[in-house]
Amino acid sequence: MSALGMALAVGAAGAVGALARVLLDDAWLAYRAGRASRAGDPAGSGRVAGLAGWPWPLLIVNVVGSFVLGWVHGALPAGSAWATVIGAGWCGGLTTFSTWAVVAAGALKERRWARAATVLLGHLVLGLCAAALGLTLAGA
Amino acid sequence: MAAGGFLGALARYLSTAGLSASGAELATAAINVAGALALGLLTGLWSRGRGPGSRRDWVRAGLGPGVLGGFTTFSAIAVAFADPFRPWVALAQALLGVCAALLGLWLGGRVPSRERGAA
Repeated sequence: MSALGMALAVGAAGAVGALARVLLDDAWLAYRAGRASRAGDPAGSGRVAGLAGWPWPLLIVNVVGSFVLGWVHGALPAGSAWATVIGAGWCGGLTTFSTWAVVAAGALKERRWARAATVLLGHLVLGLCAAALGLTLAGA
Repeated sequence: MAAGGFLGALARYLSTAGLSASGAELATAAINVAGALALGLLTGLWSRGRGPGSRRDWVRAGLGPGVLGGFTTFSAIAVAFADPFRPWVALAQALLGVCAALLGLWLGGRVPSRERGAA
């Protein structure tokens, strides 16, 4: 594949990954809003807060992306077209560091220590485990 | 949004392509911390009704989760630090990112709110 074709393919795979991340987040917000209004709490602030308000979609995309990238690293030759498009493109676009950091920083700013700690450590522990599992399953 | 993801992923790929493994690791760390700072700054500005796209949802979605979400990556650091297993380096990068995001939020939040009705 030419260098330009490769760059375009990585960008397109990144767009697909990023789109999947945002769609999952939107679906989760819609689900929460529906649950909150059925519970008679349209603002979603009181009864269904707590764990329901924890950023689950962010954790899911980061763990899934880490697992897939781990598998790609173990199963496909490094630098091959598929490894680059799936790894740097799709996995890179699906997973995100900036939102994770800002969510944790926002929790710190609001003095929600438990949320900040669980968001930070949950992603690190589960992400590293998922990546290691992907590498192991690929036989690396 | 998808266009933002395209640009972000493309920019990350071009910044890391051709680098050695350790070079790409450093470049990814720089991208992640810079992206966290930028997203914190934008989030802070938007909370004050300022900054690019403060009145247009699609611009905010395209810039935040789109460009910056696609630019920064979690999977690359998870795999890099899972093999060889170096959880402390991953934690250090995470804490650096959170500090950058806090700095961004703080800087963005210092900007005075836009007056209602002003241009």
